[in-house]
Amino acid sequence: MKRGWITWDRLELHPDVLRMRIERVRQIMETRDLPALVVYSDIWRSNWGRYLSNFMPYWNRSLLIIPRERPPILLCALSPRVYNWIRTVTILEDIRPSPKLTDSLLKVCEDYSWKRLGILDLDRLPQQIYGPLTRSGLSLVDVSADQSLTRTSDPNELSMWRTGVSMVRRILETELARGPAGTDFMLAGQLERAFRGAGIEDLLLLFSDGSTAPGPAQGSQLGDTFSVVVAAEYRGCWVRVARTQAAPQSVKQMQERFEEALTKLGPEKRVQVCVRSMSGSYPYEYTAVLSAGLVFSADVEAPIGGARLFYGDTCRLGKNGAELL
Amino acid sequence: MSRLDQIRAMIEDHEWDSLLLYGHSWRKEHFRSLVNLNFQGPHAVVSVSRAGDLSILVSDPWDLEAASAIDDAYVILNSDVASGLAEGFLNTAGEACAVAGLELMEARFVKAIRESTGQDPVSASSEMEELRRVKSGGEIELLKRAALLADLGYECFAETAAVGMKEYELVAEVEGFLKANGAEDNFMLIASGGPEVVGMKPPTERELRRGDSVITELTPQVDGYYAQICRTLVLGTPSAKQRRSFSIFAEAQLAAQDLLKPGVNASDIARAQNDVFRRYGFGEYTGSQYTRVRGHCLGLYLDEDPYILEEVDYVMKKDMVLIAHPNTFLPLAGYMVFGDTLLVTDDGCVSLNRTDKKLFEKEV
Repeated sequence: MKRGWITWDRLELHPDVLRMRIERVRQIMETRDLPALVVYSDIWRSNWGRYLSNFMPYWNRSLLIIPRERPPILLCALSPRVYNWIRTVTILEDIRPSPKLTDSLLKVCEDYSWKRLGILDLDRLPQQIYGPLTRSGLSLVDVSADQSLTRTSDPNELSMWRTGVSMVRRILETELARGPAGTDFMLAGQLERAFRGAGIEDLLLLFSDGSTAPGPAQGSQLGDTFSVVVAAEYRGCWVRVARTQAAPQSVKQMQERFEEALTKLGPEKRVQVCVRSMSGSYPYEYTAVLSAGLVFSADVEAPIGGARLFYGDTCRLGKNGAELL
Repeated sequence: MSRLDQIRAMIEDHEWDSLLLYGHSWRKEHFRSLVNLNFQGPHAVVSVSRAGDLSILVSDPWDLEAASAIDDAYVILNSDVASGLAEGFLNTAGEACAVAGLELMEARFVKAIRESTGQDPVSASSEMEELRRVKSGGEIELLKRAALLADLGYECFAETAAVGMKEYELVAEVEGFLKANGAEDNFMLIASGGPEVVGMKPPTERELRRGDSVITELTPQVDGYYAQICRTLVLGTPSAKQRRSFSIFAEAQLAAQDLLKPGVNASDIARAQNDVFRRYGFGEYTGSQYTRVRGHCLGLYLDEDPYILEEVDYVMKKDMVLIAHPNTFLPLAGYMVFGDTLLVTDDGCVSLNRTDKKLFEKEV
């Protein structure tokens, strides 16, 4: 859950980059004759809202409204007491307290006489918002995030993904090199401390003691051979890395299997790799479809020395196939 | 009565044909109230038929393996949940289907249910919430473990906090401690400073200073269940204003704890706390401009209904678990927090926390 250091480094992500993203959205709105576009975010599904405004609700939900001819508006279920903090981490100035998001959205539409409204991924809205909106009399237009927002080819975003995944690989390598961890709880604590201390915003850890698929820590003894999966959010970009702790020869074998699997991975070619999209609306989502530009995690599994081992990383499907980020 | 039997009785009472318990990564409480599986895919659904048959739909292959270990359940994997619902999960046209968590579902999932059954699903969220409010013996044991972990976590927090430390570094240490000691997750807010602090938020890079009030709300989760503790720590010797402010919070929390028992209304628990602030001339700081709630229930979600607010009409029952926390801003020393997880007993309530009920202070 979000409780890491949420910040905005303006050298890493210049405000102009965010303004350009908003302008690009406005061009789509103009083409489709939309007075505004609405983007839903919650504590877990904040990728698109973050991409466009750098805002992520650390708790609760929000609707980002991007009018064609006015500054963006954030309808926020969080208390006005934290709006000053929100302004320090986003480009947003107009933040409106909205315990009832749909009512607030309909009020904004009424105030600006909007009869037609674009919704990013309309049919993925929570039913609690979708239901009243569809009954409101507004003409709702679905705007596909994947087709409209060019997140996976945005050099700034790719740079953040690369920084995030490099950080995760480095910390994981350092922490695993400290030696046997005891239980998965103990290793989880060690990793949590290291990642949060390094400024990771959100973190999810899975462990396999060699007998099961990776899952949340359960207090299992890890022994000499185990696998760890780290899903981490760095400045709004989720990455995943899986590593094996085992005899050097086994680790090398896993690396080779992974590298070989990557060479075979493409839109038309599938191998025994578990692929999760990292560039959709959720932090990660298992997918059977690989599309050009997709940022994804790939995990391979192999039985080595009687144990199920896992190895994976965050990649992008480029022109020449899958490449490590 | 087991949870499954309770659900079957609910299905019978409402003349539904099936009940779906839906969860996504943020809100798993309905799903986990029957199948306590901490799934990792974004979505999971369990269906209970009127006959009591269980079917589980998961969206991540690694969840499939864990779910398959559950006895007497038909388990399917489909990363496209809408298709999963439509194909092989809900295959009875004309079936009256209720969904706990309907409001949280993506609209396309609701559409898939409608197309499969030929009718709109109805929401069973409020019925399931009511069913979950009164905890079983097993649930109370898990909440006690979570409360104990909250106590230990606060001990770590108070020991670790130091002048010069950044807020997020302190949080990292506490998170590390809680995970190492078996927390599945933890919801934690923090703030530090003086009268300028008006609320809690995620940790920042602010460095802790001598004289700061360092406030936190710790909410570790054990096997699905959250317990909470709220305490305030002063780095250095507390000022007269910090002490006076804390004494008001302590009196307000005690007023709630003294009043809480079966039959008492949530509005009265809120009023008992707010009246303390009013008595000292700080009534205006009990409103929504300065505070959110005077407490809330706890369980498989960390912020469960009913909220403890003067406008909420809900009669408390034995074996409910909630936190009473009069957390708010006061001009004396800024935002302050103080609260314990409380279990409603036959004739009162007991705190599940063992941490001293005091204003913590630390020599610097």
